[in-house]
Amino acid sequence: MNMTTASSPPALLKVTDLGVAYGQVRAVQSVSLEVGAGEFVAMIGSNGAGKSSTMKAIAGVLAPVSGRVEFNGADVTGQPSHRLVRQGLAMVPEGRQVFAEQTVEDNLRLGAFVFSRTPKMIDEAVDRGFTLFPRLAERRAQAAGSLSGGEQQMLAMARGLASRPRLLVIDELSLGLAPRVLDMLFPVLQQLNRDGLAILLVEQLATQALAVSHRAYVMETGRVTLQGSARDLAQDPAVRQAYLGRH
Amino acid sequence: MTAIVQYTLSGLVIGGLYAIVALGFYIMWSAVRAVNFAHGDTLMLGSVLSIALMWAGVPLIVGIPLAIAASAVFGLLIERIAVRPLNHGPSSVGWMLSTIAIGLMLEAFVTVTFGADPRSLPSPLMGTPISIAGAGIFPHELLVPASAVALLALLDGFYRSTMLGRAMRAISQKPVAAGLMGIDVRRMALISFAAASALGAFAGILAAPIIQVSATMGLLLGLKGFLVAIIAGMSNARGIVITGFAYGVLERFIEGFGNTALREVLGFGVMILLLLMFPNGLFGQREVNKV
Ligand SMILES: Nc1ncnc2c1ncn2[C@@H]1O[C@H](COP(=O)(O)OP(=O)(O)OP(=O)(O)O)[C@@H](O)[C@H]1O
Ligand SMILES: [Mg+2]
Repeated sequence: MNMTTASSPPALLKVTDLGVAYGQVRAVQSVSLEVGAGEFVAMIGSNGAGKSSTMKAIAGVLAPVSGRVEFNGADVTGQPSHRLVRQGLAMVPEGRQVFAEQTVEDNLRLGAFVFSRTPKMIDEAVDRGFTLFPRLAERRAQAAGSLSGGEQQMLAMARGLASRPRLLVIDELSLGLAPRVLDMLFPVLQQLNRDGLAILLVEQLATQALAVSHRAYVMETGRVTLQGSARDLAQDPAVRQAYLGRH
Repeated sequence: MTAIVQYTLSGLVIGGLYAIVALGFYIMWSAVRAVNFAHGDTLMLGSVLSIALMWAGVPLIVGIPLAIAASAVFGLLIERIAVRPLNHGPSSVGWMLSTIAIGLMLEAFVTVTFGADPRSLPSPLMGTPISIAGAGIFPHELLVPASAVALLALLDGFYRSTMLGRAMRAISQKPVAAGLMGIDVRRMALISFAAASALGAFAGILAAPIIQVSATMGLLLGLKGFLVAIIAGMSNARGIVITGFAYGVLERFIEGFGNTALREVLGFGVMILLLLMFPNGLFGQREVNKV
């Protein structure tokens, strides 16, 4: 399947032939993908396909061994994450990774670390987080490690948004979460996207991912094997068989 | 009665020193889950450099900040060359060896250049002792426990309400996530070691009019400071200061009613016993993290 991207907005993120390796072990062969400004893009694929490795290389958590990452028209290949955040590229990592010993509020403040010089903007970021997820406000003084899994995911999202990114990369929103929690989180993502945030979502739950996104990529053993509009992919027989289950 | 007041007072003085040393370990541990085992030598660096600069005709008001700055640079170097390359998670132990080795090298170097004789730094507050309930103590000595308490309040505020403080704790918990927040993890690690070493130098200078300054003065002080931090639980500054005071007072009482040798045997003995009874430390908590 080869989809036209002619109607897509100009690319905010453009990844070309990205390769990632851990020592001698190649985890990502060659991945090319794009996310337009304000676009909602999903990536699905089975365990070990290299989705997280791709996202880590995009967000600057690890340096790719080959290929190119452009963000906002600039070559940012190999730049560390702490610089990319300042340019508007934030990531919610797999497993949430909240600062367990610190309070919910401090986690949010750390999310706004890029505004360290303007305390007012940090306060605003905290307020935005609490408005987005009122449950976090009730637990603001609690250690983040004592939150439930769903609450931790809310915190991780609010923390990722605190730096006011243009693109939010989310690795496995649903990991270990109850359907009830997800029914609340997916609409939040859609709303954020409608408000102008570009989202690149890695997700095991292909049905939900294809339901909320505009376009999607399918990744297998280190490569993108399929790509297209979310609607088309949801109808694709190969995708249905592999990821959506037979109907 | 006078003896009891005397032991308590001088115990709080030496205990305050242990507490300040232990706070240095706390700062490093909070940031990178590793420490500089040559941290005791930052006390030596601070006081030896202050004295050497004084001999060279530099007034103390300039010499002391210089000595503290030099020790901070020493901390930076330790982090960069002895800790960072060898610290890859909880099972790494290489940094222990490398920092101990650098400490021993430094001590040997100072013995050769500074001389092996113990020295002392003058203080205007060491003139006449004041009397508290019949016990005598120099005003300068009171500065030590007062500094320990003041530093505790300062550090508490730093970690609780500054972005730098929050970041310096975040990097040890989740370094990848910290980077994703825009925190330069390596820079924070450097800052934590520099701050701890500056604090160590301050402690050394504070103690220099009271104790004997020599190339090897940091060995036992560093060890006891580390012990205090471990017993208290490493992650609780208030607990560390309380434990420091308690250990100092305990030592003075053993020394007063027994002798110096007994002090080390019983003092360390009690500490080991406490560690066996409270593996997470007296004030430590088990790490909280669901999922
Ligand atoms: N730190 C690492 N060291 C060595 N190999 C790794 C490391 N992280 C991932 N890998 C390997 O790289 C490959 C891709 O892993 P990755 O985590 O990117 O996959 P994924 O698509 O995110 O999988 P999942 O759906 O399980 O999260 C796997 O074979 C994995 O074993
Ligand atoms: Mg993954």
